[in-house]
Amino acid sequence: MTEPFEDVGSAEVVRLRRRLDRERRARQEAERISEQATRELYERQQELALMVAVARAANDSADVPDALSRAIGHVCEYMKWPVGHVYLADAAVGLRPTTIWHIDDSECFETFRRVTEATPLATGEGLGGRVLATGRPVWLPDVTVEANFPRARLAADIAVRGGFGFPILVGAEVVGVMEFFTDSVQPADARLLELMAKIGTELGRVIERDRARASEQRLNRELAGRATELARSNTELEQFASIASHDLQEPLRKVRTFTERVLANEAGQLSEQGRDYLGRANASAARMQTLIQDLLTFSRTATRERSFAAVDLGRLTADVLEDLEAAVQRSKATVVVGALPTIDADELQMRQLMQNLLTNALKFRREGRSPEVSIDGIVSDGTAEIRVRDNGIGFDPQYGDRIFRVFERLHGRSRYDGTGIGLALCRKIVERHGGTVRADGVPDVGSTFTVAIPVSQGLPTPR
Amino acid sequence: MKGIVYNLLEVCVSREYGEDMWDDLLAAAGVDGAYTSVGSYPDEDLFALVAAASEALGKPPNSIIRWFGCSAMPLLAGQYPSFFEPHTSTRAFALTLNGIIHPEVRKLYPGADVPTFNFDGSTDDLLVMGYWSPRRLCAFAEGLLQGAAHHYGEQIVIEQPQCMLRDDARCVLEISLR
Repeated sequence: MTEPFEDVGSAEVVRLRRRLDRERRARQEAERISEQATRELYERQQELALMVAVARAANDSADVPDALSRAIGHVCEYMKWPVGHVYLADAAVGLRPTTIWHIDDSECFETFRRVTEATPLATGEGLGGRVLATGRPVWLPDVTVEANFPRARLAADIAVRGGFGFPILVGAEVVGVMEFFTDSVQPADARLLELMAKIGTELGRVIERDRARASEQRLNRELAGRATELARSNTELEQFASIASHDLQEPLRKVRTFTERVLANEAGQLSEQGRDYLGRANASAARMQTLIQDLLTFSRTATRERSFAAVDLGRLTADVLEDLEAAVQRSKATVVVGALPTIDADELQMRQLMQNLLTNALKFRREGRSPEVSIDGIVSDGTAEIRVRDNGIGFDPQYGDRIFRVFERLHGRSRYDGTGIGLALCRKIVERHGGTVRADGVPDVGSTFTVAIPVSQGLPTPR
Repeated sequence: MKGIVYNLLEVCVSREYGEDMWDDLLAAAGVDGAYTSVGSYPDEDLFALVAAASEALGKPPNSIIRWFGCSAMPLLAGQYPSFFEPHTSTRAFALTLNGIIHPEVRKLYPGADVPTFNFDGSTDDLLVMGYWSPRRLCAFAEGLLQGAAHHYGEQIVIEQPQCMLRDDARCVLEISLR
């Protein structure tokens, strides 16, 4: 064999050989680095593919067991390990085994599966128990030589050797543990455990989402239950009020009829005190009659069927004022009516509403001062806002809500008569129309009642 | 130190002083010399080579390092034109070191341990560049900057009011146009 460079001086040959050797070694080093980089790139791609597969399982699985089962399959496929299983955390026992598995050879690992499903793990016990205790992944190169691996004691041939487990985490809480096994001894792989920790966090989101959904459903059920209960209780109350009021009317009418007859026909035979007593009894019975009638109206407001039609509030207000003409004249009141809209409403109830608001405005006047009342309305964003303002006695703003309650009276009956139902009725009417009513007052200056009602109640447009 | 640095040094030395010189420097420094650009090699190799060159050429080590930086720049400009083309001045180029060039270097050479510079460009005619590295290769930075100036057809003056080689905590390079 001919030596290269044989015609060149020997020192030069040595030099060239050395250069060639350097270049060769540099090339080999470059190839090694390149191969390693390619291998690492491939591994990172596989890791990424696993993460994507797990994320997809987490996102589009029907439920938690489905997501966990798919994730176990992906991890086993990635690891090329034959066995994967899930425990779920259980406050009573620590870890409760599930029947969620991936097993490549069911016959071979049958004993292991049976023992696992029959053995809950306490915190710190076995592979899963240690993961639960620390919240960190745990790697066991050979479970058969582990002192703390109860399943190896429970069955002689469990067919698994290397294993690792990692937590499914919701925040810092371990909600489950995934464990994987193979049939040969396996050295720990820190990088793999890190990857599995990420998968555990991803799967934790599935459980977190499931918990949120369950809690929302429970709340909704409770809410629906309470709403039904409330509706039932309201109906009963209304029925009771209606029946009670109706049944009280008749005996009361008799009381009045007979006391009036006695006063008319037998007054001469009574002492003055007797006549006074009987007069008072009759007046009381009359008041009670008014009260019952008001209550009856109040309860009927809710039970009455909806009969909405277009109501011209301007015309309606004019009618109401005509009915109240005597009271207006008696109190020397000035009433100014501005523009009022036409809205979909129950006409009878609107009449009642307007009458109550105007009667109040005339009734609660300041002493020595003629009432000045104004009514007007505007429409904006589909809502009619009607304001009734007066210059009467007003009220302390802290009672703005209280005055709408049944039987709530801010003033004694001796000064201002009434049953304490009028404004409660107003509120009920307005609410039945899907609206709100508000009272603003300043003592000794006046009050403003603002009613806001939708203009349309979704009635068919008249042709 | 990444192998690319040794490859650049080999090209610079061989071009200027011949291939035999590189062989001699390797032998004198007692280093292996089989460098591939993507490999990583001990920093000591570079300092041994610089010491050998200093001995062979009768020049102080820092002057060798400065010469190396200046001679390496045209090679880098030929290899990575995209770092140079967007700019028309040394100053604009230098200001992209931290944000653009070094991140790219890390992509090409994983594990590359590049220094971080801080800049004060508040005055138009002076660029102040802070340098800190346990390698204390401020002379290399100086040489590279001079090389960049040649590339952009500029003449620059670099003053070093502070230098780690004079036991300052860090080096400060003040760069101005001549």
